[in-house]
Amino acid sequence: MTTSTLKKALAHTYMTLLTLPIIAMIVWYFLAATMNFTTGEFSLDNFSFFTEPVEYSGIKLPLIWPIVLNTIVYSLMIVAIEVGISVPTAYAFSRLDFKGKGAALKFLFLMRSFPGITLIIATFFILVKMGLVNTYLGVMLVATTGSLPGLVYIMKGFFDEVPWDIEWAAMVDGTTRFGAFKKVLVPYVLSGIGAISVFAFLGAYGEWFLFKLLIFNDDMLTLAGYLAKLVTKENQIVNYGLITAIGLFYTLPVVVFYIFTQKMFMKVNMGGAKQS
Amino acid sequence: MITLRNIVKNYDGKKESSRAVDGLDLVINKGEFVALLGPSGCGKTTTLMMLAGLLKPTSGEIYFGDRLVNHVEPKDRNIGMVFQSYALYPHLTVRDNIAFPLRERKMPKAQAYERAKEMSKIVQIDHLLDRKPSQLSGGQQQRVAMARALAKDPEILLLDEPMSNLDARLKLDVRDEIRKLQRELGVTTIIVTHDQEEALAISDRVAILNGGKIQQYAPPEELFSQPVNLFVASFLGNPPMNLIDGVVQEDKGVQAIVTSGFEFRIPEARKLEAKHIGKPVKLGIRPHDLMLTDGSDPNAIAMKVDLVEHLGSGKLVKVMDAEQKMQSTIRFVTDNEAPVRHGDTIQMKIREDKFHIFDMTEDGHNLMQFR
Repeated sequence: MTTSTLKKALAHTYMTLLTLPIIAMIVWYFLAATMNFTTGEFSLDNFSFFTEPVEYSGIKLPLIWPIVLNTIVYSLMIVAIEVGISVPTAYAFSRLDFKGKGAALKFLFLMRSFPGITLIIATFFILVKMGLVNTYLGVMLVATTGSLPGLVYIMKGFFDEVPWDIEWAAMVDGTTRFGAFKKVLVPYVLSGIGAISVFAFLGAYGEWFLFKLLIFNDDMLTLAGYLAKLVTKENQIVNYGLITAIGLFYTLPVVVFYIFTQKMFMKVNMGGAKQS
Repeated sequence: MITLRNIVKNYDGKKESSRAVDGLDLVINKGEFVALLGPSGCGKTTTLMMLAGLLKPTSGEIYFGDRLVNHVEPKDRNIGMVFQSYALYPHLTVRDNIAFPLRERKMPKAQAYERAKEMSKIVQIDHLLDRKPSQLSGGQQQRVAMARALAKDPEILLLDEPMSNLDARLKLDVRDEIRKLQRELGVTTIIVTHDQEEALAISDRVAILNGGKIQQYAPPEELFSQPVNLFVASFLGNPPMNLIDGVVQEDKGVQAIVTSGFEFRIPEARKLEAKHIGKPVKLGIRPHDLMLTDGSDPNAIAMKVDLVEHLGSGKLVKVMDAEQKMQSTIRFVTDNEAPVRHGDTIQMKIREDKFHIFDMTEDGHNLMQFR
């Protein structure tokens, strides 16, 4: 009895000690955004970016709201495109027999483990030739190409878990193959589609490198690129208060979103569970 | 009427090593209940899938009535199917599951739900219509699957091991219900199973498959009493048929099968053709067709009791020949009152009209002519 209590106490102390730095960081993060450190008083001065364009030590950035709109539109479009392509593709890889399937799968896997950044110079030149530099289309093409292999692979796993019986039952019950896909398989793997939507969204929301590389107009940036601009000038005095404040504004939606969707993430593996 | 003519199915195109069904011929009459029975890998499920249209035969023809259906899509065949896993749609309620095939036929929602309700009453699950499949027990899921298969009033009902996931007691009930339902609706039904008891109990005719070929296609009692070959004889029956190696010999016009343990005189009425004399055969006797007798019987065979098992309704006795020259034991069944104990020496005899002789020089076909 006493040893188990002791063990518990030890475990709890250990866990608390390990978690403390993380908690401290979060607290510090909030403090940095909402406190004036010279006077030690609470202030919302750092949040003035809500109402006026950001401007300090030579950096001038546009007002944040159009950027927010860019971010939302860009992220949702990426989700729509990537989910729209990866779900049928994954179905094909999981269910159909076609020539070169094995090779294509291997290639997908290779693409997934290949560091995309090494291709960036070639990508840039191709986009220049195609006249797609400084356009959203260019960014989206590169971004989707980069993340599709991974999403297809994840989605294929979900389709693999759907019993053939279910698909056959639908076909016997009067659907075409596509009808079975639409009416039975897609609902079956809905949690998987949810999961890859979230991955696609988070990927798009956090995309700053492609914007830095391919977009030259500051008013076309998304939040991640906007934030990146604040810290990447040389020899500048970094305004921590401002960066944390914008950072907070940038992270909060994701945190809230995660709190609401984490249940779905936990359920992800139930997708293929047997019914009995 | 369903006709399968010389059906061959290779899973991998032309490769013969991937052959699952090998020249299968089968005729199923309208309203008949037929079982496809065989060990795993015998091609019975493949055959069912071809009937459903989910697989296409490599060669051969399938007719529903006069219509060649080789290339007809499953949705256009008007079949109902119950899968081994039931394959209910997990995202739909029981009501929507049963109505699904009707909705696919563009039946208005209200009417489809009405029909779903009717069907659910027939299979006694009308109180569960608003549940999801995951909230049902195995037996209930099975009923939903039956209701879904029958809702669209199919011409043909295909059952793929529908009872293998139920416990033994429930199996008996469901079996009777399926049979009753099938009689009422008069729907031509084909069941695939590896459970011989189930197949024999439920069907009008049973096709026994092995190696992608039909071994015998006959009513249950005929399969049991007149197996055409060694496979059918040894596959059917529990406890299994005794199969004893022997050689046919003739002495002064009397034929006998000489085994290492005893000699069995073939009755005059069932004499074999002369060409079998001196050839190896297997003597097949069902455990129920061996009887105890006393030493004065001229046909008595002396045996030593090796083991006695109680079956409840009787005793299963395993015997060896007295000198233990035979390689296998012989099983037979007696009633509970028979004074048989381990180590005893007993006298037994074979019922004269209830034995089989299988030709071991060729394919093991049954040499007994049943007239």
